[in-house]
Amino acid sequence: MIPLSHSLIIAALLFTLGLLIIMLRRELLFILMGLEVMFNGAALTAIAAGQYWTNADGQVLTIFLTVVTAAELAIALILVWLVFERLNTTRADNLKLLKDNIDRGPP
Amino acid sequence: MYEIIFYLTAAVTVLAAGSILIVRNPIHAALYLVIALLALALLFFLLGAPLLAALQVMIYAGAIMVLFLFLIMVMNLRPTQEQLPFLSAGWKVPAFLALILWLELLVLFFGLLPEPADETITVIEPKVVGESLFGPYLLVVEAAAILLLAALIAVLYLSRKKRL
Repeated sequence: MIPLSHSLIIAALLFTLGLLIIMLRRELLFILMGLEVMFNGAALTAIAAGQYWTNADGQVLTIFLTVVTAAELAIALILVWLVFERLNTTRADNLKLLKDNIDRGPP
Repeated sequence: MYEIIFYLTAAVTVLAAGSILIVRNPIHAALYLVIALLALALLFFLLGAPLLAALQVMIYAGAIMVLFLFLIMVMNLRPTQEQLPFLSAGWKVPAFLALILWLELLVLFFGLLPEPADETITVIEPKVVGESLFGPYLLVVEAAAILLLAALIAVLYLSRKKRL
């Protein structure tokens, strides 16, 4: 039997690594990958807690977490593609426009 | 013995997730992410959640990573010059981590463990999860269906050909 604290330590490490990826990398795809790592740390927490208390709720929570991740990732990836198509960049530093006046030029 | 495999897999997960932080090529980052997700599936299995392990392999390592790889290849991303370039040895490190996972899988499958001592894993069967999912959580399942439908409509709207 794995102690609960060890699973929680691993989950916390994963979450912290995901947060570091989001904060340090400036590519949009890397930011999304860091989000995935963070979601998986949360899922490991839920599953470890569910196994500790011999309860199926942790796995149910992880299933819903997967659903939310899939929905979020589909929309985020199409937004990244639209950004690349319009601005021809994937770096988060270059996204400085709030108003879309690319096609029409400066007014 | 289970503990050894568990901690080895945890080390593989953390190493692969940490490697995403420092690689330059997006394809290599996707490789490391696949390794991390597969190792996490093995962690779920060792914790006693076989349904979630299978779902992790199918949904994360199967579907979501295909989305990532598809987008990386469509956008034709170059390696960025922004990060410290060590551990960018291409496929070798992901292959090594995957080899560790594969050896663990062989050990688990063919029963190379010395003996199943008193250490037991409390397995929560998929049947229990399903009964819980369609019993007290039925309303949340419906909400998840609506969420997926909304995401589908949003993606279709965003990826339409003709700008309105």
